[in-house]
Amino acid sequence: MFAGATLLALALGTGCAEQIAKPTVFYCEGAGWYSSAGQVESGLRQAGFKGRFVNYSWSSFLGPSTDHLITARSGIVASGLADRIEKTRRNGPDMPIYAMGLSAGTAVVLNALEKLPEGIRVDHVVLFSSSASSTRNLTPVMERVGGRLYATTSPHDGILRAIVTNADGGGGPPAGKSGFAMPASRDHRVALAYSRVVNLPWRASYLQFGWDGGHTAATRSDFVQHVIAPRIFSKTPHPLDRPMFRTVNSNSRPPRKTATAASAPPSTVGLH
Amino acid sequence: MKRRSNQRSVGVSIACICSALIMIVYGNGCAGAKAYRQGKEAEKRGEAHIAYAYYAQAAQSNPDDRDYTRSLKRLGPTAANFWINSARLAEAEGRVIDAWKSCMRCLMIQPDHPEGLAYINELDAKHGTKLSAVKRDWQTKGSAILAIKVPPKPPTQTTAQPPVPQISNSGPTAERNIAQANQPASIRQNSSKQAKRPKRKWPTRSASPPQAPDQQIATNREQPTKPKTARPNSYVLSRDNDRYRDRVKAIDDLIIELQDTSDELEADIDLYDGKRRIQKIRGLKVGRSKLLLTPQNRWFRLSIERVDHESETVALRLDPA
Repeated sequence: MFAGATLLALALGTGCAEQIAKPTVFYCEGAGWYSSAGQVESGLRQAGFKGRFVNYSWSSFLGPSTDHLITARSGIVASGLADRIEKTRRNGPDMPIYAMGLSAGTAVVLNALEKLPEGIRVDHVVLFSSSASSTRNLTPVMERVGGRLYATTSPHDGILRAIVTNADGGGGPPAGKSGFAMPASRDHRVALAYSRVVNLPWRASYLQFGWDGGHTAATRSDFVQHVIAPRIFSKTPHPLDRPMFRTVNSNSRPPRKTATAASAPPSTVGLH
Repeated sequence: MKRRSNQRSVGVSIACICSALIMIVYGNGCAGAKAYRQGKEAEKRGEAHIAYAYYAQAAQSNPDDRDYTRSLKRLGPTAANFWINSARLAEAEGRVIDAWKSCMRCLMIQPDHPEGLAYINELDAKHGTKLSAVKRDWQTKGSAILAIKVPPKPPTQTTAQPPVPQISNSGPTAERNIAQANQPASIRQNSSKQAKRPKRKWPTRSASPPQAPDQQIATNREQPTKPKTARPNSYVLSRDNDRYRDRVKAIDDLIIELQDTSDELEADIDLYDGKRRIQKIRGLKVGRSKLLLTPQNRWFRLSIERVDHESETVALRLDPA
């Protein structure tokens, strides 16, 4: 009798907790990698995040290959996440919602955002070491994003260098290796979308925060706290942000590159 | 016969490829090691911001080296603070674009630097139109526009101060100084320590501390100067002379601490706000000065008036900037 009452109370309590509107982070782990959520949550908490952190479990638990090649592009998995985002948005229309993912989890995030109904938006999106295709057209995704989309990229990512098929099935190199590329068609809709897409290429100063350019190290709590959190918890774009589409020289955007020692004149030293 | 020649050419090709690979790997390693060494030297000189840039350059090609990572972690906060101080200094001197660039450098090192984030917004609000061109440059060229110029000789970011007298640079001592100045900094430091001469003492006088160095340093000069009367905001710091302390509380609760002197008549000074070090000044020569911001946010110019390396004594002055 007592146990039954306790369970009922717990269930009701959980239900109530779902009803209280709070800022929410939806996070999708990478394929076969189940330990980055703690790091990301810890980094966000240290940066002052007091909302809910939801680790959306999408893995089939049949191994990384199955998750990467099959589960990540499953419509059911994406719809499940989209439903949860929609419910959270309807529950708290003014509460910020952030969608984040690692590796193949980024494909789940992008697919889910595309499935959101009209009028339902998340605030910001963060893609860590995305194994989605760099040539993927982000325009439909960005129509469901009110703020900005950040994608970490690194040439030192050994896992992305080795994969032959992207998690979303698209062509080209994975976005986490070279960054997203803008589609050839650059109409107003595309320009509007890509003016809020920011590739975050690895640079040496990120070593201070634990990201050595490796695949999963991008989710280190220090990196999330010092580099990601100031970008997504601020109303204005971060001063260092360089969106893919800019109003200046808008039609001839070269691919974003960091300054290298080779490109700098010998009498200068670049801040990497 | 033909088969043997084919085998030989394949062998030669493999050898060429191997040696090219070795050269590339070795070349990268050398470049990284060289940048790291330059960083170490800059760090020894107290130029954390330049050292940080060199360490970052070294780590860019080899992120797995733990020494590079440790160095970046160690110097990151100091370098970021240096750039934010530089930004404020530049704005005070009317160099708004330099101020913006310095602030961006601070944020490149520490993207969540609270002062950096607040200050760049402040700059935007105050000088938005003046900054539009450099911001456009940033959007198109990125961090290339923030590269730091490294002069052949270690920079001290000093400004000339005409009224302060210069020590004479003639005679054998001056020649030795010039010869040493042409040596790398590390060698200079060693040789200056090895070449210790017998100690001379500052004259024992009952006058106020700022008067004392005049007579003593006059021995280094061709013409002795007359003792001056004490002036406000003048201080004498010494590491060897017991008459003076190596640390003094100056205006606005600013604490000035003498770290070192060199026989090139340079002084290394640290500035503190209570226990917190707010600025390092390295290699500031006699007759040169440096702008500083006191804990109460007032700008002052710190000038080195005299240096006596034998007793490691420095006379300096603070003037409102």
